Amino acid sequence: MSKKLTYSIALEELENIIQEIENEEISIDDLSIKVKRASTLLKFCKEKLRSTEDDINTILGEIE
Amino acid sequence: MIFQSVNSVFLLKNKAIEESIYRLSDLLDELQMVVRSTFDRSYWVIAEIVSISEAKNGHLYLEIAEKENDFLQAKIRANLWSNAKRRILSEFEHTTNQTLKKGMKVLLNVTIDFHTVFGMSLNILDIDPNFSLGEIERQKQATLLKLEEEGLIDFNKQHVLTQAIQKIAIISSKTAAGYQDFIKQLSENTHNYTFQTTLFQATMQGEKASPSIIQALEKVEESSIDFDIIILIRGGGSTLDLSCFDEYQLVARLAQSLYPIFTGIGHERDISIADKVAHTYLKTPTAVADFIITHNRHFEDTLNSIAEIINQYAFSLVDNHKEQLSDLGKNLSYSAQQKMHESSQELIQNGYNYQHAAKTRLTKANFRLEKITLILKHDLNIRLRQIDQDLDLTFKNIIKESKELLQHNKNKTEQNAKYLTQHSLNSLQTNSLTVEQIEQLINLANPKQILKKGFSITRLNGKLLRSVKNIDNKYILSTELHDGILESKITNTEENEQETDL
Repeated sequence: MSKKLTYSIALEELENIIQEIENEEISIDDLSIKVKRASTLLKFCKEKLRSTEDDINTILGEIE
Repeated sequence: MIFQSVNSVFLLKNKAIEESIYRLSDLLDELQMVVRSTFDRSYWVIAEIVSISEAKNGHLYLEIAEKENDFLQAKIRANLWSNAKRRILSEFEHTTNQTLKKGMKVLLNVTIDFHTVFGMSLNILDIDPNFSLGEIERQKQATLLKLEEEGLIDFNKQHVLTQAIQKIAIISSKTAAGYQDFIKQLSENTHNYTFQTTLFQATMQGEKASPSIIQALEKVEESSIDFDIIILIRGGGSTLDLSCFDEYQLVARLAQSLYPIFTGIGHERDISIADKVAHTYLKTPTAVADFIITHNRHFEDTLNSIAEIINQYAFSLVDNHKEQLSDLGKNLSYSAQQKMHESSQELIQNGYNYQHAAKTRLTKANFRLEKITLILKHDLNIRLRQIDQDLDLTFKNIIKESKELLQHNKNKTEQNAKYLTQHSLNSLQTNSLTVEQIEQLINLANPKQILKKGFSITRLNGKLLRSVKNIDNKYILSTELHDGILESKITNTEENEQETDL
């Protein structure tokens, strides 16, 4: 993931995941991967809302 | 006209005075008298303020003018004395929310005065604030119309706000109460959201406000930080002189900003044009802070609901799969049993069928074999008898043919013996006859014998002559006959036309 993660990108990806799950496009094999990815994105967004710029860079470093 | 009347007064006085030279003060005193007596009441005039300055003594000195297409039509000094100033200005500012300033069109109640030192000027008795209010509104409408024509009113609203606002550029003055309020409200939010705020200082009211704000805006846009929004926060306190937020140049620039513009200028009465072109307009700096926090809160709510939805779907998906798996397991064991039962039944049936078919085939094959054996036996007997007969016949034929052949050979041998004896005798007889004949032939070839028969041999110089060619008459030939030799001379030679072969 070379692109810098932003709220918009994170939200878009989350919405895609929801849509995929809703439309039952996700197999049970991929489900845990998708849920894990979603929780990572959610964690990123929530922590970024409450972090200083330095912390944000640390989070970004973890995710990217 | 004034000059003429002054002139006439001057001339009237002149008659009583011997000398025609006056002191300036006398002359101007006369002028003052005429002016004061001629313009002895107050007048309402419309004029534009060209310049305005306040003296240390509290008096306000103005220059007012009338322009037509930017050309001066009239211009004069006007004074607002400190005793009247306070009342007049407070009423004006209260009504218009603006201070008296350069460029403003005003309706003034004035008296005309002439001072011998300071010259002609107007004394301002009153200013009609309602006229200015109307004028301000008219100008504001004109600016709005222009912005609308240029498509700038909603231009900044096209920016889409980021999901969560965190990087904020603030255009304000550092000491402004509004700025402090904003920072406090923002940082003390109950959700612990963090914000990165950067202050870009600017003068927020008065004549200098417009260029100062534009400059600050440029700094924001040149900054390396990629801001989420720009907030305009006014200093707070008096709400006077916010006309800069109606100025075309400033609002047009705000509208075209690279970032969404938020205003928290704090108008009490009506909204400024800056508010109208802004992406988001809020009444106070505190309201701006609340808006931002709510915006971010809304984003977090969205995140939470996403988490909830994903959870629910994920669980239900897993449950569904569990159920499906269990159903599948049940179906599988049932199907397997069923299938096995069916297969064994089928096998048994097939076994029966095969046995029967095999028996039938065997019986048929046996029957055919027996039949074939019978036929073969019969055929073989016939063939054997035939061969016997053939053999007999052949044997007889051979004996007969052998006898015949022997007889034939015996005959032929006898014949050959006879022929051989006969032939030998014949051959002997034939051979003796032949010897005598050869003797006769040899004798015939002897030249002497030939000469006897009348032939002769002609020679020339001892050599046998065979041709008449190349024979001269002078040669002497010798001719041999069987009984002697003749010598003769050639008299004539005649060549045959064609040589004849002997």
